[in-house]
Amino acid sequence: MFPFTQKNIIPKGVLGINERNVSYVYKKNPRTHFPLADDKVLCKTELHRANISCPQTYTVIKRIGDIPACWEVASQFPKLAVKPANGSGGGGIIILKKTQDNKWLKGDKPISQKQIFTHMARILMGMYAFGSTDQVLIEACIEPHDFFSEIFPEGVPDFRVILVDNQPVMSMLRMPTERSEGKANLHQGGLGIGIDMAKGKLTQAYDGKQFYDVHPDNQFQISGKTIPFWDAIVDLAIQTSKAFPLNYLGVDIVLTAEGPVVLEINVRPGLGIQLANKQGLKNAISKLNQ
Amino acid sequence: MINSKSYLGAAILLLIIPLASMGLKYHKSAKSVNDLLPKDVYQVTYEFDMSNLGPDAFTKAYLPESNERQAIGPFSHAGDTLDFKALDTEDGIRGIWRTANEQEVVFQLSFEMEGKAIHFDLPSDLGFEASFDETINPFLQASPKIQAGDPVIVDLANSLKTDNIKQTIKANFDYVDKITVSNTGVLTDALTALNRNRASCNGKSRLFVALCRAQGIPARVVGGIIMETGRKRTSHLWAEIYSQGHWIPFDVLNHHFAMLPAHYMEIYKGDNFLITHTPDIGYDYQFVIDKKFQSAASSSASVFQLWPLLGQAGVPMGLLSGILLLPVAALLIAILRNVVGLKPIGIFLPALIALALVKVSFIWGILAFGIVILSVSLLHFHLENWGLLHIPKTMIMLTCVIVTLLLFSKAGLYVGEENLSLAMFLPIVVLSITAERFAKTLVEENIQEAMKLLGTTFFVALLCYPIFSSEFLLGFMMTYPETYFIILFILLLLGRWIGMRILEYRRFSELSQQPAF
Repeated sequence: MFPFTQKNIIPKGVLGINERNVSYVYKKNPRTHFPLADDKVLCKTELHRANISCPQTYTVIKRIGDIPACWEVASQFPKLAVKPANGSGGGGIIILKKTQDNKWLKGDKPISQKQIFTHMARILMGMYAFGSTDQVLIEACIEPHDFFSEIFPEGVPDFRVILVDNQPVMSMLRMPTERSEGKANLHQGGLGIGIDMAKGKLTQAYDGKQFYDVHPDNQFQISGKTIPFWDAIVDLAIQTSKAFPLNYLGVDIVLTAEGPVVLEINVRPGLGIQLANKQGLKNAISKLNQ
Repeated sequence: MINSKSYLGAAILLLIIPLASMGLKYHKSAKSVNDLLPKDVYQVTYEFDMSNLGPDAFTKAYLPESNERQAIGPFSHAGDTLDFKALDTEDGIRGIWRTANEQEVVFQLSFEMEGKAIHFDLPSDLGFEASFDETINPFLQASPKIQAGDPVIVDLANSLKTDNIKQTIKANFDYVDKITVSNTGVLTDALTALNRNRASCNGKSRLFVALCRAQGIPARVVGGIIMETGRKRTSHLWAEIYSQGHWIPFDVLNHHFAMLPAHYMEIYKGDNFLITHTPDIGYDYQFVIDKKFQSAASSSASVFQLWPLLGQAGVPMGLLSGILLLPVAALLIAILRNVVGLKPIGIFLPALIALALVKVSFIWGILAFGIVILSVSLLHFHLENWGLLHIPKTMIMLTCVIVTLLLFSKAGLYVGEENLSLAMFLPIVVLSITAERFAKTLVEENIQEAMKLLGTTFFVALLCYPIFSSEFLLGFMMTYPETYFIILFILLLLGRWIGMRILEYRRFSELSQQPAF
């Protein structure tokens, strides 16, 4: 329990929260630009402007009165992701699919237009943004590349690439598990899978407790698998980093059949990535400069 | 973007200015660290109510005097005006109130009392003194209620006596201590106390004095009042033994051997009645005692301090301690979060919980807190399922917190547990926020995470609790408000401290088993 036993001495190079905030987040990211990352609508606007591939934005709803008109536009598309602009941890996101007879499904269950409107109203009222008012972002729902179903066939896995001064430093693949119920975040029970960035191969998976070479739910192989489009993923991360006035950020990328797309960016990327990679961030950063 | 020069400058100023000012102040106002501590100062009021009076009625009451262990402030009278005289007697000052032709009178006498604990070390090799001068000799004699010459007492005294005076006193003390305590307060003389083997403070003190006198140790009883905030009618009797030129106090009932605590107010010597009055009249009296918060340093007006807020500005003590000590608790929370790595709900929330618990009582407060949060969270679960909008949902939670508190208090009255009704003093907004966060974590994460969050919050509140209940800290902050600058200094340092949090060592312990990079 006591942290300073022999076993628990941390090698230099692991980045803690205090140092991340003081020496990276605050030092490299001007506070005025935080909303570019925290607000999904602003982020999407910036991504579209810089011509970075990302899911197409169908519409943005700002007022409850605009819901019907905006829905008129969005409902032409067959598959939608409805998101709160200022949500966190995937809260408030629903995926809608149109059936052949123009009805809508949320997952496998039917959902009425009234229920959809209520959900949007709740987002606008700040349900997922700690009480402040919010906006609804409706965008294309992306289909993950087949590569992921070789590991775990559910949910949307994504790559997280951390960049310092526009240089990729460390990355991981976040994968859902049965326990995480489709979510890929580490603290929600997802798996963090380390990546050998030079080779574009998966190294090992970490679930917050232990390391695996195979997916713990189905025993499908993880270690050593080659990631398709890896160079494109890294290039997209660099391109994204350059498009934003932020010098320490995490870029979340989903791989589709056509190639990688940026989902969102994060100015305070979590530190669990060090565990997934069995490497300290400070150490990885110092290697960059050699 | 980050200006290190102005940061360093500010930090250094925040350290040097308060230290210099504190040093200067200490030099000026405090003779010792004890002077900073809040003292035991009480506002005491004697209240009398006399009715059905005849032509010439009186009340006589002993009044305390200042001495080496107590300071008594000036007397002030209130209520009906009577003819008052203070008589200096051998046993103490006796106040005498007379009225010639009133039917009924109500009057008060108030004064301040400040006490100091006193403690004597009896040398263990001390023998008996052979003779005493005339003024002491009377304290070796038997008296009607202290029957030091009675054969039963003399026999017992002889059996307890040794060559060593300290051993002998201790034997007497222990013997009297073993007598069953009765709380009736009925007047009991020494012999009756011994025969019945049952006595309250006055019987025990008289027997103790009688034993000492029978052994040739001068002793007397002393009357006074134990200072406790509230109203009381009971006075107290203890004993004093004369040795080496000093009168040394002993209170057998409350186990004070050769010592007296600060909250004992001595009023008279000898076997007297504290209050006497004209017989056969309607008569009532009580002592009203209120603790005041002061320190020795507080009387020094030459330096800047916050004590006048309490005295002159009349800010209530509870409010003041909450405000003054909140930054201290905030500093503790900052350390627990950024150095240890604990993650309670909110930033100030644990401090606010602790502050509320000081006003209620820790155990009952936590219990009420837990029950309210768990029941309101159950409700939140349904509100989520019904898909309610955020604002109405929050207001429903708030209303239900209040309803739960009311039910809790009502249940307290019903089962006769008054502490349950104290739940009403819990801050409702703090409860609502805690319940909301708990419920949210329950939905978004799982029960373990939610319980962990609540447990951490209560744990941090527990650590903040002593801060708000410490009179020493309050006295210190009132005398040295410069401490706020030192708190700011530490927080500034903490603001740029980039070390690993203690719990992160555990989180990343997996990495330590890897070879060094």
